[in-house]
Amino acid sequence: MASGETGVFDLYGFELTVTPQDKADRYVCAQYAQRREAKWEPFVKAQALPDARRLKRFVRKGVPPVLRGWVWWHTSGAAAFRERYGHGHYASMVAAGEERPCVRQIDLDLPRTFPRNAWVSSPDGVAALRRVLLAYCAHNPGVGYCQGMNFLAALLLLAVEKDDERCFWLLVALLEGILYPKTYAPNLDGCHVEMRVLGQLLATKAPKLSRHLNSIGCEASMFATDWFLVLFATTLPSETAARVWDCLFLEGPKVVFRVGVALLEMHAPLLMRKDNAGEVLKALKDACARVHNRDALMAAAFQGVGSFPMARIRELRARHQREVDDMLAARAAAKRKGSLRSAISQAQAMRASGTSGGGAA
Amino acid sequence: MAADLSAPALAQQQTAKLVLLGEQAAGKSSLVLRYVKGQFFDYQASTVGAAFLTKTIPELNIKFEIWDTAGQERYHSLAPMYYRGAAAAIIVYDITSTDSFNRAKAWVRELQRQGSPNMIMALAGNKADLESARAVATEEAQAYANEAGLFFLETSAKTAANVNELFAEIARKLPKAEAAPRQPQGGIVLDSAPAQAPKKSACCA
Ligand SMILES: Nc1nc2c(ncn2[C@@H]2O[C@H](COP(=O)(O)OP(=O)(O)OP(=O)(O)O)[C@@H](O)[C@H]2O)c(=O)[nH]1
Ligand SMILES: [Mg+2]
Repeated sequence: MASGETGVFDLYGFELTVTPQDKADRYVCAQYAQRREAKWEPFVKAQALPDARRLKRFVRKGVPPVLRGWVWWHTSGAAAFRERYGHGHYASMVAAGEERPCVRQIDLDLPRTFPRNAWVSSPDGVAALRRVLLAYCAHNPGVGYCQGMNFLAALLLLAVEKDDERCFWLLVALLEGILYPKTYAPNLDGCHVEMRVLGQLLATKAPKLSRHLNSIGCEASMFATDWFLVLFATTLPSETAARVWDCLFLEGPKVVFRVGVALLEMHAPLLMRKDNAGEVLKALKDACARVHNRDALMAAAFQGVGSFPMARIRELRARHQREVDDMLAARAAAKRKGSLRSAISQAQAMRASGTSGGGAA
Repeated sequence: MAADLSAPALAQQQTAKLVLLGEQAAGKSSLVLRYVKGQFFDYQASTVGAAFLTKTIPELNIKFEIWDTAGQERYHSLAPMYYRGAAAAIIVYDITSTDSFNRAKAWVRELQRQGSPNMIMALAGNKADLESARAVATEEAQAYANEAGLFFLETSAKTAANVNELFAEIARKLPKAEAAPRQPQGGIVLDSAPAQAPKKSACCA
């Protein structure tokens, strides 16, 4: 299965297991990236990004890894967020984070974030990641810490030369400017909405696959949670994920739908052979982890899957937001009823055994 | 790969869906990894969404389809998708954390309310190797398990203690009919069952 040569490390320090085909793909992509890097030179010299039209084209062809920190800073809106909150904000949020209840959850996850990546698991890496996550907790207590942010922040750190303040503002830009609202909220409300929208988009883009998945009870929510919460950081090879992020920061969450549908379409023949949801999840995870040809993925996502009008996405989101709200409300009501019932039976049991149940809330 | 000639034999196999639930870092992924692959990592990556693994017990002719879920409270809203229709559940807590034990109790209540009525439930007090840091007494957990009607074991994914036993005991407790709803067994024919059910892989039997 995952057979191939080991001991190959990618740009961000992740060890890969590569087949000869993967190696060839990586070589071709690296060559292309080098050619693209030359095209950015005049803009670097002028310290100004290309104009909007050219920028989109340039970004879709891939931001040179050494320029990601700079380009993302401006395309994501991170720079604007920092201006709004002020330059001292990050440092004061790091300090305030120590007092937040999510410290415990963060500390549990720090050593469990890319444990095999040398820098992320080094003392420096752990300290930087901790600062970013604590600061976010304090900055946005309503969201706090959501598992998944650890992987997101770690790959961001790696991609922006380990500059933790820059990473923090990119995280702010993603969660508060780019992604669908409440994606990381306490019930993952927004994530539920996005996963359902993906399911609907798949039905129009790949009806045969969509019908097959429906027939075996495999909802998009079963395989796409990490797509929306970690933005492929644990799904795709890191160089491929970073390439997706180039576009995500500039063009917004539509990119996640495009890439998601492209991944499903690319692997449709494999998925059509699976007859239960678990096997689909496993096959898709394995297949996505080997998408080393990032140029091919981007071509599939932007040319292959056709148009994705934002108006349609907005309409689908509105419809599914109502459904998700209803579902979560119904669950909360069932839970209240359930705990009421168990409280009553507990009280009855206590009365029967002669103990006093006085003072119960 | 050669053609899969073993298909007809598999027709008799029972498939049981099993789900692991429990607090963040209680050791769900580690237990599954130990059981299915015999591996353990001191630092196991946290689960986002869910993972799926399978394992067959040849002696009992049962194939477990195991769903390993994410433990953080906010992933709770995804859990019903995974425990829906499950034949068995393992609720995991960490013996060094009372919070995780309380969380386990909440899961039990939820499954009793929402899970399949005949679901086999096991309570696993994991990290039993960390005796010096123990926060939940064995007797307390055992008493709770008895009262709630659960099967209880203390396990260690690290040392492998009681891990095979946990899954094997669940396999033994599975009612045969429940384990393979898609394939009516032997001579038992349910009158409402569609007649073509076993056709798929019985071609050469
Ligand atoms: N000492 C000891 N450590 C364990 C044991 N089981 C798991 N761990 C460690 O505890 C941490 C959490 O284990 P996981 O298996 O990832 O926990 P989980 O329940 O899957 O956690 P989430 O995916 O966050 O829900 C890991 O670093 C494991 O190495 C055990 O039996 N003994
Ligand atoms: Mg896990």
